[in-house]
Amino acid sequence: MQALYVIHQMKKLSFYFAISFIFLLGCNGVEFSPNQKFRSGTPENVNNTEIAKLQQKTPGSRIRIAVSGDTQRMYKEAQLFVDQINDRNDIDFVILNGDISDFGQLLEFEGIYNIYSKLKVPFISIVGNHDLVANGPYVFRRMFGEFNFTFNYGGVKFVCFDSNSREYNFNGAVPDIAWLKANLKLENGVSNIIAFSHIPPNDADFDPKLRPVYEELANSTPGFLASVHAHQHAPDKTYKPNSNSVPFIITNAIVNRAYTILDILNGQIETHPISF
Amino acid sequence: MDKLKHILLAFSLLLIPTLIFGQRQIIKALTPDFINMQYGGSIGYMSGGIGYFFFNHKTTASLNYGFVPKSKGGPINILTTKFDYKPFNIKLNKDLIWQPINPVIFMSYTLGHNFDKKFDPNQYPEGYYWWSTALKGHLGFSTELKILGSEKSAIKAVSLYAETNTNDLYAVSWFENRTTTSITKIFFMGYGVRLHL
Repeated sequence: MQALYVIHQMKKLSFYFAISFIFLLGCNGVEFSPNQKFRSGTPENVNNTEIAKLQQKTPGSRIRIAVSGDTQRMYKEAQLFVDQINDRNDIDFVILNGDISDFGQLLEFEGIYNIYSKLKVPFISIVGNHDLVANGPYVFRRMFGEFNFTFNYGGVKFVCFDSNSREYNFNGAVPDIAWLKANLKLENGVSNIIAFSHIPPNDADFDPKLRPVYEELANSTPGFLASVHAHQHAPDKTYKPNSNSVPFIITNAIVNRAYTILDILNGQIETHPISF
Repeated sequence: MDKLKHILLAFSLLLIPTLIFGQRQIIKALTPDFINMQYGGSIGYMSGGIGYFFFNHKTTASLNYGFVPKSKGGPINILTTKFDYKPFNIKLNKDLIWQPINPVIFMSYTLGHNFDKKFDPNQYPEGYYWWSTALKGHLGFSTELKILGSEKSAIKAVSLYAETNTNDLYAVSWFENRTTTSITKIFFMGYGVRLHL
């Protein structure tokens, strides 16, 4: 009799547990597909919003940018990075140089957005190869914006572009050389240019036919200071195709708990890798 | 070719008695045990399918098609094979059965040119991306309320269920962030109706 009673009580308990478990999990709401391009509440046009915030700021004579990349669903590392940037008061803005997600899924983009949106300074995001997998291109375009875009700050033009050639099976259209030619141009109030893209030109994932074209274009652009890339998850390095070339800088990754401080002062550029 | 014709003819002759005498049994065996409609649950905005019982109604297998319209983050088309195991049946009253917690596993296949079983080996070096964009394994739990009707009517019972699930890639991400992310963050809901035929 006693044993039966205990079994009955245990059964009852497990059912209460079952029901509370299901309702607890229900907190995240309904999902239509892990590949859905958006859900209700997914942010839109983040880059435009962040650039508008940046335009509200008054630039000093020195511009200091924190360049991060390759977050790839390493939420803990991304949070540590954001905490560290929020602890210092000398950063003008943050760059997130591609591979925001790993599998191109909405949940990953939103996960990183939720962390980066807590930054006290604006952050501008560039598309990486992992962001172009599955429905990633649609998620990125709706959430962040265009793959090729520019913005100006403190007399410097920042040219951000898609260099993930392998994702387009090296079709010759990425990076978009015609777009770069049209946008790698000084304009009123701008004396320098810095380019950002995810895949470095000397990487096997950059279209080998377009590498010399891009490097030549960068070198022949007046006021061009540097071309800054990510993707390799390795300590910062700089290469120059020839001795008097502009620098092509490849920064480390958030997944390696590293970012790079980029200073622009009097038309000169300086970088400092930082580990956290 | 001639040989093949002969084989086909012999095969058809063999089939005739089966068709005449066994048709009713075949149709009976093929008629699904239930049809279901579901909202969400990671296999479509709406999905529908047919299913069968195995092993004394404790296990069900179903085949579903789901769709996410453009306005809900699509268009996405998904095919799903689902297996439910129902270990407990609690009779609440003579017409009402509660199956409180039922483990569910399902495989979903997302159709469309952005999705593939594996990444194109002509485009990517071996091992460049290790996962599949189209094929996903899901794991979940459901709770189901079964309302019994007449055994003689076309619809013998109606079930209402709530189901929560996660998938392989979400689980991998959670595992790598397990010290900072709660496992509840990777489970999502779906709600459905099952009509028992």
